Amino acid sequence: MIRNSSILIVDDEKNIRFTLTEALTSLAAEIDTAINAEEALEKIKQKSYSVMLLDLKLPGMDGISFLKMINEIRPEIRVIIITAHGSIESAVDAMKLGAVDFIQKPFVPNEIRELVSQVLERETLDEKNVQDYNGFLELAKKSIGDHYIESAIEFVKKAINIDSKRPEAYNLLGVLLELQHDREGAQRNYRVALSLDPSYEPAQKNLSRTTHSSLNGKINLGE
Amino acid sequence: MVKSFQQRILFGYSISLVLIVIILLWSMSQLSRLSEASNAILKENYKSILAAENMIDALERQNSAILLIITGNGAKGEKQFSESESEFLQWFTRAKDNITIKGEKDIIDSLNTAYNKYLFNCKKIFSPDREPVTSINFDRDIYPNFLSIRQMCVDLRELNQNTMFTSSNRAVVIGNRARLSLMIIGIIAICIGIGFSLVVSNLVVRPVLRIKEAAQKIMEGDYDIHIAAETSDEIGQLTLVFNEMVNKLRIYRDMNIDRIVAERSKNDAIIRSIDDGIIVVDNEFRITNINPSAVQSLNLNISKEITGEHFLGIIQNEVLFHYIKETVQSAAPCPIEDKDTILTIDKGGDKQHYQYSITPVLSKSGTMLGVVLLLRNITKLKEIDRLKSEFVMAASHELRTPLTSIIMSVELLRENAILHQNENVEKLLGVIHEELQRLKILVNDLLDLSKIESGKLEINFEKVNIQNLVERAIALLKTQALESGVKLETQIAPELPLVFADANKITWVLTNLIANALRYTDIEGHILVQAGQIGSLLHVSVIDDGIGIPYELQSKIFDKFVQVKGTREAGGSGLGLSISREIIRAHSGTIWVESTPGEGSVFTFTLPVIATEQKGELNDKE
Repeated sequence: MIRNSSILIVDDEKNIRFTLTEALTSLAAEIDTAINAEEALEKIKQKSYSVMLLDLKLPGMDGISFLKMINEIRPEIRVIIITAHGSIESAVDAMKLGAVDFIQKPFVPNEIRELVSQVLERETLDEKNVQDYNGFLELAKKSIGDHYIESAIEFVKKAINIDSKRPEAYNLLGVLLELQHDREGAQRNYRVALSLDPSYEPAQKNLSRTTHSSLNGKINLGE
Repeated sequence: MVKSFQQRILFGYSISLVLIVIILLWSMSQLSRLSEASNAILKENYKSILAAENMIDALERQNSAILLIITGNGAKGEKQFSESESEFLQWFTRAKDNITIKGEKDIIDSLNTAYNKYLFNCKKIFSPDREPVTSINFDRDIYPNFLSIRQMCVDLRELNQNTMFTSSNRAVVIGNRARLSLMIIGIIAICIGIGFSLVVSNLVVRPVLRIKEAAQKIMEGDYDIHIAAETSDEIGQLTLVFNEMVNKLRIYRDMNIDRIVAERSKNDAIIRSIDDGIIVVDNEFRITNINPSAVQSLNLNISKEITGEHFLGIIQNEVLFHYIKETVQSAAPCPIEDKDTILTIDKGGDKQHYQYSITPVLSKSGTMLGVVLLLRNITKLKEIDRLKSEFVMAASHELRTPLTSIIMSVELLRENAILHQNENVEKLLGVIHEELQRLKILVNDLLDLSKIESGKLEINFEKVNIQNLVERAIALLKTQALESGVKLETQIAPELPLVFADANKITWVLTNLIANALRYTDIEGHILVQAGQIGSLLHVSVIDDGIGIPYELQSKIFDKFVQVKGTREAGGSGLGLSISREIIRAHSGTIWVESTPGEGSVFTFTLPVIATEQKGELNDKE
């Protein structure tokens, strides 16, 4: 399923690095670790990685600056942010800098596995062999990783055409509009998602985050 | 001198009495004089007149008797003569006995002589040897005699008549004089009486008036009054007693003033020494008292006179003034909204926070006297609170990294154990897993609560339908309820008005309440979520028939880390209800619990509904 994928874990906490490595071993991917941004840069130079798990709080160069750099030098690397801070601004900044997703501590092995494999699977997606709702959504998420926001919007709209009764695509469209700084449009789509399913949590969280800050401020792409 | 008031009145009356007696005596004497005068007329003159008249009668009859004799009718004439003679003499004696007037005696005397001569002449006629009576004799010897006697009698009568006339005149004069004198004396008596009455009444009234004036002055607050006791009568005694009373009143007042002054200075000292700012405002919004702490707190200009000024003239804070005005008007402690109770004052970049409260000052009868504004500096408290929240936040952040490592390790070990079917290890790891879940919830809740408490919780108000929120919360917990065999139902009144609320936060509260109910309700238990409108409030209740809450815990259930220790594991962080309360408070609602241990609990929260016109607007939009 996953071919020739390699993962780089960047965290200053030894035990986090170790447990993450252990958890992701089952994905049959090559896993490397780096203790800080500087070491991670060294590793990137030597090898190409599909996914990078990045702790925003790092000694030396901080995670956000490092993320900016990665996007410039190696834009193909999908970055998943790990953070202990629920601070919204840094998470939003990270999204806007091109991180595909982020996960908040504390998490469990399955959560991180699912997230990473989802991101890896997206890489194998091809527009030509995708015809279903979820496929278009994943394609859209992949396009976000590639910083093709317009094409991501196209994919989301295709998903909506397939099934306009599901909230996920509207939520994602909201996120995309938010990335284009269209706050009102984003909120409108989050509301549509909520009207379709009042219990759809990602849209709830996104809506309250865009109107104000909230308890949990991360952008939620929906699972 | 007259001793008593009573005697004085009696004296006044006795003067009048004496006057009346004098007038009485005087008039009696006048009356007697008058009667004497008339009596005199009767006695002195009338008798003489009568005598004179009769004497004339008798004389004329004697004369006719002589004429009878002369004409030859001797016997009859003699008889008539002697009868008339005795009659004449009888009247003459009376006249003689009644000589009262000057000249009367002379007349009587000459009458006596003339009559005797007359009788002598006449006797010559009667004597046996008498010469024949001729007319010449008669004309010569008797008739002139008769005429002179008669003339004398007439004179006597005239004299007495004249005297009577004079006397009568005199009586009239006496009568007139008596009337005049009576009138004069009467007038004098009346004048004296009036004068005395005035004097006496004045004597009585004047001291009473003085006491009245003194009492009036005391009423006006002038206690420095002393009335000189002019007399030793009852009024004088009253004056003395009055003076004593005034003196005692003055002492009492001075004592009271001393006490009030002492009380005032004590109060002033207390107000001055209190660290909290105190401003006393009267019911016309003038500042009557302000302590240095308040002056300092509000950055007031000390050089300016503050007391007596209008509140707004000194403190330009409309919100504060609004609440003071409301308190003055309602005469009840003003319900101030939570967000308004804190006054923030910028002191050159250094922000100071004051929590204020407004208390009405009422007199015993309930009259509004003013309000007391208390400013409590809570800057330090706020700072401590902020540090606490920051610390908790930081701690819960810092706990996340080790917690992640542990969770990851345990989960990986569990996967391994399941893979290798090592049941004992799996169970032990399961225990660690459960506890880690609790720790995770605790860390997350602590972070949430510290965010809320440090004011970082932002409420995103929208117009929401509570039914949607209840449904959302139910949807989230449906599976869990099914698993624990609890029947989860809703009972929502139709056409409920919309509320202004943060949908996510209210859902969070609902979820928390339902999850709590699930946690404390046994298999085959019931949970009912009820919503309805009561007045301007929406009431939402979560009712369960679980184990209930012990009475001693009910008042503390919303505090941090308060949990009902049941027979089984609760599994919560002990912060859910604290967070719920903070969220509901931020919505201007209230949350409370009613519970009977063993029978179940009812958690209810309220949310203010939107006024109808706002609802209409929303409908238009949709």
